[in-house]
Amino acid sequence: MKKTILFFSLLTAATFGFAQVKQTTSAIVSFDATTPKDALPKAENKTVIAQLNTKTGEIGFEAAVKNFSFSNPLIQEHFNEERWMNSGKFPAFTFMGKINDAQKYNFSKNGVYNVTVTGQMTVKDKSTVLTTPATIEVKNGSLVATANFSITLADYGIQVGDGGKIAGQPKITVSAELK
Amino acid sequence: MKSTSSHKTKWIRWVLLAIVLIGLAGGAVFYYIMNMTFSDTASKKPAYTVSAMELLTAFQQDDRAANEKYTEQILAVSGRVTEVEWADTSATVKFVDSLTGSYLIFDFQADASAEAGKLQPGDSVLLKGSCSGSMYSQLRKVHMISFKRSVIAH
Repeated sequence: MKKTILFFSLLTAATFGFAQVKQTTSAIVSFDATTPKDALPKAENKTVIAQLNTKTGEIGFEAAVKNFSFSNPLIQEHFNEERWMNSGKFPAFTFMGKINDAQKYNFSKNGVYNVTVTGQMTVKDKSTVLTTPATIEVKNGSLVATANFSITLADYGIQVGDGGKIAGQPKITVSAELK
Repeated sequence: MKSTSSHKTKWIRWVLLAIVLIGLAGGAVFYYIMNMTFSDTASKKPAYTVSAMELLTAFQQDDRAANEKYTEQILAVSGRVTEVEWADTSATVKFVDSLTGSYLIFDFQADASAEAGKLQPGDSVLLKGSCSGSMYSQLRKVHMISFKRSVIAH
């Protein structure tokens, strides 16, 4: 009887010990729209919400637009203006997606997994489908997810003009330690 | 005739000088604006000093009014640390409302991050930072009020 209880206890621990939903409120998203003419339009947000369901592969990110921190106050002000991100009206950037073929990966085992993620990127209430490679490193129950990709600002109704001072396809870098 | 020509030359010189001066002034203003940085939050006087719970309540009761009042202002916020998270090599500090799960989160100035990372859950602290307003999280079903360029107020 004792052995049976011990067996089921261990089974339960193994099943639930590795929580299915891993999350953080301190993921980092960097935005780099610099060009050879202007090195200022880049920023970082270190309070991004991120969540990953390791069983279903569902993954989500939410970033407060106003918490992107620039080195230059004027560029930060422009970034939040109506003709750019209009952060007063659209306070968040979101990405809601899924790891392709998530069942192929066993995120309860330590290792580095190169995955592909597909989902909806929403900026200023306009959504586009985004597919990007990403890396997930599992180490003793915590996961570090990283991805690098570009977005086309025109897809979200943002026009950068012809001055060549702002990249029309800024680079986005995502890094999240999910627990 | 000679006098008219001399007068014209003088006039052209003045115009050229004015153009050069305007160009130099414009260049100086452009250089100043492009090289502006945020001043140290530690040296700034807070627009408001509030407790974490007062601030969370203000946003929960009237999100629009609270955003208008507090966003892009330097606030000094007192509270008990609920969680310290690490984002790469820098720390973020959270005050969480245990009833609703809504929270305040502070990202720190580069020179203040190491000190913030030493805070422990339960520590009482006064933090000062630039309020970025609130956002409702669809993932966590809570309100998040974020701060950037924060420091520990001493």
